[in-house]
Amino acid sequence: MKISRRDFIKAGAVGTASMGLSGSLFSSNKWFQPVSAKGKSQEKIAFTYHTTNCGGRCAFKCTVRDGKLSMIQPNTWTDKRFSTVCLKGLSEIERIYSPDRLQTPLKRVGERGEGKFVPISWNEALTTIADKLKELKRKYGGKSILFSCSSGIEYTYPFLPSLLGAQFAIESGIDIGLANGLEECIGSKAYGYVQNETSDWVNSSTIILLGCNILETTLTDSKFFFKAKDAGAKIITIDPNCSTTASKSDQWIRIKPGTDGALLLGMISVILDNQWYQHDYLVKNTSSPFLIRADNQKLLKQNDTHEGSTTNPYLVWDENSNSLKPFNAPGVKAKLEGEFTVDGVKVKTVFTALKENQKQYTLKWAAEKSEIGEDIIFELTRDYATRGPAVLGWGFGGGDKWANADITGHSGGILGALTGNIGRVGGGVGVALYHGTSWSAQLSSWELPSQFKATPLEMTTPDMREKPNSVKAVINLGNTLQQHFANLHKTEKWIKQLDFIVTIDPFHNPSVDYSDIVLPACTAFESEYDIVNMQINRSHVLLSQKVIEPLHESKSDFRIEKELAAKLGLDQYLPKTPEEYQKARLNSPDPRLKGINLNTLKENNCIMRLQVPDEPYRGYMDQIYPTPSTKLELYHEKLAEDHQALPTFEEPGEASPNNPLFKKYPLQFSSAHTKYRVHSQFTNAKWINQYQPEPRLEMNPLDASSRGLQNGDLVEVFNDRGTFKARCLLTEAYRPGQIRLHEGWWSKHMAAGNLQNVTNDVLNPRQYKLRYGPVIPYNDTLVEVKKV
Amino acid sequence: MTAHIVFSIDLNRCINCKTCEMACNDHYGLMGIHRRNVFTYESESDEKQRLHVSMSCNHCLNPVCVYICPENNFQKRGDGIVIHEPSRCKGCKLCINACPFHAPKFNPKTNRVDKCNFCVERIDQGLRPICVENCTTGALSIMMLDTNEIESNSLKSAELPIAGYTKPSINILKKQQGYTFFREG
Repeated sequence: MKISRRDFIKAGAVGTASMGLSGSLFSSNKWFQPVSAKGKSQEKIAFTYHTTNCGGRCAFKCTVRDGKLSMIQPNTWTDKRFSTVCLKGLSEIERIYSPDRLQTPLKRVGERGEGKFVPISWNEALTTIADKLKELKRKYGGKSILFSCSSGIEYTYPFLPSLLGAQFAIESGIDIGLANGLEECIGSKAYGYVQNETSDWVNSSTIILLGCNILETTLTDSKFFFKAKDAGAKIITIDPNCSTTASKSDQWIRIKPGTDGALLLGMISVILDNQWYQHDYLVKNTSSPFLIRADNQKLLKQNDTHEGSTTNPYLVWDENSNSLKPFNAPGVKAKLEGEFTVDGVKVKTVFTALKENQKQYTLKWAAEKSEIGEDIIFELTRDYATRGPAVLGWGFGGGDKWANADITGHSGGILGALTGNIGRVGGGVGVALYHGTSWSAQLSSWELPSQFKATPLEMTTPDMREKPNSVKAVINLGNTLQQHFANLHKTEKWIKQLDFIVTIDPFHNPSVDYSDIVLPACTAFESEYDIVNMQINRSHVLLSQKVIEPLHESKSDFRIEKELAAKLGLDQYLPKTPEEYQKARLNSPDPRLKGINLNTLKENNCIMRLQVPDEPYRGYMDQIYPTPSTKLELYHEKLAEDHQALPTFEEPGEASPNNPLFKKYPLQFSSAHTKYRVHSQFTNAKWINQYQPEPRLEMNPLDASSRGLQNGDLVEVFNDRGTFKARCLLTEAYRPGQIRLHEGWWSKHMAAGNLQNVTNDVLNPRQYKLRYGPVIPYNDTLVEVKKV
Repeated sequence: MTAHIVFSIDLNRCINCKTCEMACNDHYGLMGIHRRNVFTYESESDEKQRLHVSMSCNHCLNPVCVYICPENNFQKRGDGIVIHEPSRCKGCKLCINACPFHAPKFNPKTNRVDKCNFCVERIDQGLRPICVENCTTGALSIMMLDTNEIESNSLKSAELPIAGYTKPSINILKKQQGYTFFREG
């Protein structure tokens, strides 16, 4: 086959188009000089890391020339597999000099949301804030102040909420949908992360990624994905769409959105029917042999009037003595299955109850619900249950943001228990993103005098918009007003009736426009201090140094908190410098921190590995869980009245064909992550916008043709909550019936509106009982699309 | 028999994250042009699959730029790297028109041609090129390849429409479909 030059150009159109765009990109940026251009300039190297919550935690070696950041390269970690930087990290070289930077403190002069401000001095800004907060504290108490913090903020103002007795919220109702169900089984409180580090995947035979686009959302963990694939693991990605991860996996299974729980329930049935479960593991390590009372659906305990624990043990049927025995009595051989009568009360084991409950969830049922073929579910289950160590990994943006997510998480926990994949080399169930599981160590903290205590959060923050509560002022750190609430119009109503709103951020993000006072913070590259911050991540201690001086009139978060505390007359309780603060944190008896201090960190590129074994971290290898019984608890008695003690499928809250609204709004709207941004961060980064210059509504050509839409048409997305406009992008990779816009786009980048105008904010009442409270079902949203 | 140093591109791994493109711009302080680009092709065999291939100068065995430059600014080193020395470049753009891969590009800031030099200064220090160093997925790497193998390199089988007459010195690892094997326990 001969291919002409013309053909090559044609085929390369996708690449060349972006080249054309970038041609004019940097012409105005005079600061950006070639690194080797000048002879006599002052050059220094400084080390920092990416603080944004993409979880990549890339460490940077920064070259600073004449006070300007001129090159970012990967810093060398002790474990070199982590020495990496993706485009988001590189783009900081432009973004920190962005015209979107807040340059001075601002005071609102227009209406809230209008975006009219005048510059004011730092003194005026801080005095205004301090006076207002003092007044609110005096009149209504510290609980009238809410610190609402974006998840990407590293320095979360650790002292002010306590000094003021204020409330503090970070990610209320976000990323916890699946964790609610899973961690009820495990007993932990770790956002539902997998038990084993991603680097353990080389020991797995099967890796199932359920709505988990790891190659985009945790780009820097991609090497562990490919290592596992090279080592022979079968990687199966289950996703409504042919995601980047699906396209690199061994198998892609297309699922109907919102039915992840149905698929997992079907898998449980297949395992039970084929007896692929690990009998001994279930008896030894789970609550499967515990007995459920038929009269009140509670578990049978030694003393039924008290909560179960190791000292008030749950009872099991002992095979040796053919009698009831405490589950933890020596020599007990608990029966996994069976029904018994105890003092006239019928009881049966959790496992027997599970089997009965599963009868309704046949393979055929699961296939119909999830729209996956029966043979495919059967093969998937066989791969998971019979091939050796297996991972069931999910993400935060797929099945998590649905009203029925806790059921999916619960089902996942049961699957892991049935197959013995929790506390096993190469196993694990949970969130497989962000490298959330690794070796860690206990840092010390900076203690405030005991009279200073933050007020516990009164309620999940989305409820503050409607239910009576004490909050009168919001200190918004980052962009929470846009990002941390669904149904933006409802948020706006709440915002309008608040007394006082402050935003602290480096950039003019959409939340800024609602604020009364705006403070310009430094980016992570700038500070007044030589040492900026420190964290433990990926089994290493990372230290960040000052790279450049604060730009414009910005101040570091540490300095802002310090100066605000001074205005309140309370700064004597705070550390004097970040260095003093980090020294105090490192002053810990934890042996894993031995030999790690600021001096040794500086000598080692600001990265040192903890004193931990040279192996992937694996949790619960001892099979002792932080549950009341110390076993994996599959039966959740507190949910008995909700018929969810064992997972019982529930249709999605909104995006279900059974919903009458479906006739009016037949499309499910999903707001997903992209490799190019982290939530709403990098929306203004020019280096990234050259590749993704505007929001595009992705949809299948089938859905487009039935609405008379062509690729690139401007469309309106709407439902009863609101509307937004964007151009559409037709792609076969997208599932008919689902449409998507990458989340986080700022209002000013949209053709009109904001994607949060349409997102679903109806919380599931059952989930208030669970450890994280109800999840915001962003993806459980129905919309319709029309041409503008 | 001679071995040349070549870029190797694994189509199973490239996810079009563009880090290689911008790592180069970051390192060389380039504005307005990219020495490396990630191209995307729709796969003929599966319309849902897209192939991404990261390409810069292919440091061809038969480099037309070397022959066509009136100033003799291109040189092919013994290790196969084609170097462009811009200091004498008059901007006649003959090389830009001749190269089937658009590797030489016109830098509007210098009014001279600019091209990937395989980070020779790093290679000579025993370091990998900066794009390879930054590739997050490991799709991009370098390898030594026998010139006979470069001659017989069948790039067309990778479903990529790549012109062959200059004998591009790259190695493409084709996209695999459903390749798995299982281990016990």
